[in-house]
Amino acid sequence: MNRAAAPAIAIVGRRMGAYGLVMACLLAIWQAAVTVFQIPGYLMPAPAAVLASLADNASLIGSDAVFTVFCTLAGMTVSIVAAMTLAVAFVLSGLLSRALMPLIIVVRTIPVIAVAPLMISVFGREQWNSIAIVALLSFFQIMLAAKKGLLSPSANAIEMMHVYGAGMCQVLLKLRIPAAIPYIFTGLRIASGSAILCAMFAEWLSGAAGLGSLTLDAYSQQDFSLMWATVLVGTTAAYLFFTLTVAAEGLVLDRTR
Amino acid sequence: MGRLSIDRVSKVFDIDGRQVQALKEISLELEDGQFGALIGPSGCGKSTLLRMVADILPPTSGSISIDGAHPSQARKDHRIGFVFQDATLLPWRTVLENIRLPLEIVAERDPDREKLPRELIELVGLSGFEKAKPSQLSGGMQQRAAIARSLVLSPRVLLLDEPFGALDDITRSRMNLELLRIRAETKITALMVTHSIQEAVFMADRIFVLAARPGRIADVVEVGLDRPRSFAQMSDPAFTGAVDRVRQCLFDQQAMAAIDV
Amino acid sequence: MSSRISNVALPGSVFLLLTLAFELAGLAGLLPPTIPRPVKVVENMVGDGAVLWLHCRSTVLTAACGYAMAIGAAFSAGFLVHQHKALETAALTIGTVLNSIPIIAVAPILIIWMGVSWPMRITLTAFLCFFPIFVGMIQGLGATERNAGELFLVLAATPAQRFWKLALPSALPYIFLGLKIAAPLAVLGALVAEWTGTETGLGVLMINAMFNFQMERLWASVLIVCILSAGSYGALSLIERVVLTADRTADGIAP
Repeated sequence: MNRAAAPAIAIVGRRMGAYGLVMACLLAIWQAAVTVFQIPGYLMPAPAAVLASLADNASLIGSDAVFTVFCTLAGMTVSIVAAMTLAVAFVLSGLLSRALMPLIIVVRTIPVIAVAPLMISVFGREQWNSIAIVALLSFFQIMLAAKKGLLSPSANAIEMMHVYGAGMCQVLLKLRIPAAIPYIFTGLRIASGSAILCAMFAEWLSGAAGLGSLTLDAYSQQDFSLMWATVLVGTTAAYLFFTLTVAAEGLVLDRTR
Repeated sequence: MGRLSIDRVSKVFDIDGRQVQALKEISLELEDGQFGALIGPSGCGKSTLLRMVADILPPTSGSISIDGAHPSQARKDHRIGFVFQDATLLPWRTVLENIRLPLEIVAERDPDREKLPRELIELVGLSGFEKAKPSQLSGGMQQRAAIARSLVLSPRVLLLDEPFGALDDITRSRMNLELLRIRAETKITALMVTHSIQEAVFMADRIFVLAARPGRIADVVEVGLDRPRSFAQMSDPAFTGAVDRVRQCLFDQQAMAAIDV
Repeated sequence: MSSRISNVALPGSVFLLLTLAFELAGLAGLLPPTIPRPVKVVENMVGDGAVLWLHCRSTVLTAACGYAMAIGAAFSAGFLVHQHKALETAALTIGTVLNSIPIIAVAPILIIWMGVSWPMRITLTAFLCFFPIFVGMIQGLGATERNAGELFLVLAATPAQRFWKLALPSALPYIFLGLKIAAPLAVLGALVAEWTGTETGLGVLMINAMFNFQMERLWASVLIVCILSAGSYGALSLIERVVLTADRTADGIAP
């Protein structure tokens, strides 16, 4: 464990601790409500039942969760590569930017999940579909953030590089990309929060393996405790994913600033 | 009518549990129709004092009276006009609508008053800009509109918080003359916060020089210049004498502060 | 003026070129069976026009009702929070917690409570739209300039005058931002509700087309959904431009 990583680990620990505390409080209130008002299990299962179901089905939920997380990671990797490439291309070519940006802005307003059935047909019912949906969802956030970041250096800074005789590549490598890093992380952070839930949704609709299908299966078998257990795991995974992005951001920014 | 009197007013702010004395035992008087100026170093509490007169902030101790009434009563009776450093015009309203705003808030149908906004637009020299949006006006014109708005309910006392602080020097001088002319026509009592010694002497009958930490009155300078004022008076010995006295007082404070440290 | 024309012409021609490329690729047999030729999709839209229209109507109805319900709820909550500042943190916390419940968990609960019905569809839609509008409302009402607040104090304005003449107009750019983000979500909410097993709606049409491998119909219904969501966003941008002067528009969706 090197020293530089310590603050990042502290961030993850603190945030997950706070999350656990909030969750524990919510579950306690929920349990109390179920007990006091004697709400039947099919309307709202008790947290105790949900946690018991989580323990009973730990290996099933665990393997599905790993699968969903894998799809999410793969999707985000694809989208980071695509988004960065396109953002750089847009900054280098004004013509390309003027030709494509308006289309991207229009397409961006369409919720990705709304076109999920089409994605399922094109990408099949296996993991490719989840990966594609996550990639598409994250792409816009990261691309727009990266573009904003690449354009963030002031005219003065660019003129300064020009005076020193820097070429286009050097301006990009020494000025624009370092300036864009905080922006890219902002985009990543926003995308990471919804990525896992989006992957779950894709699975819910397509029936591919993963947490989302497990939620649907549990629902169709009227096993509401299991359904909520999967939702709990999904939400926790989403928060963990978000927190890891925040920690990575802290780590990288510490090193570059 | 229009008398402003501040009697041993102090203000203590509570900043994160720490008591900070912003103003200590401030007393000052302005007769009806007099023009007062508040001048002092940054952070001496000039704006705070003005806001207490306008009943935006309550004083910690001491009393303020406007025509013998408590500020909150004066405020509810619309006897106070206030001009901010930035014009604070509502961007979605036209110039005329901005000037009409106080009338809408009073919400009484008085046909005499309904004519006032247009007369005031003329008074402040904005004729032809009634339908313009604030963003289409220059800084000086925005401030003219703000002054017109502050006068629309015919207040007894006009409070100005560095009204021309954000303007360039030339516009500022022109606005000073305009304000003097408006004041002469309306006979209103005015109290203005300013950073400029020249401006204070040029505008005011009575200048209150404040010292900082805690804010207190260090000197009161009576300006014995005839009205109407003109730029020619700036070379008058009475003018330069008053400027010197205010500067001396502000400078002495700085020297004292240096010794304190 | 010429740059304004090229602003439309350039992306427009790119779009046409892409469509043409797909058409040619389809004619040459290069496209997989899941991607039909654009001409086939348009043919299907015309041929199935009556069916598409029927289902489109039901989706639009759900989206509009849910959107209206969300606006009503967000405005009432926003007004309350504005009048009682102490509620703000609590309201935002509850909103955030509700917003972080995955929609695939909300849908089953609503079905259990309301059955597969119109109220369920509308509530689900409203649930999805509520948060952005509410956040826009709260942020906007909190964004009143301090000096303007003092001006209204000096003028002895009543709380109601303060709300209608100052806070609400100040908040409009933020409110529009929330309304714009929520509009496509209303379409999405209607679709998700339809996917849970209703009998009408574009979502139903889509899912059935997907299962029966009717690719032209699937693409046609997805295309309509895209037009609906982008169109609702665009329509609100236009309204925003009319209501607000140019200098007051909040700039787009912040990434």
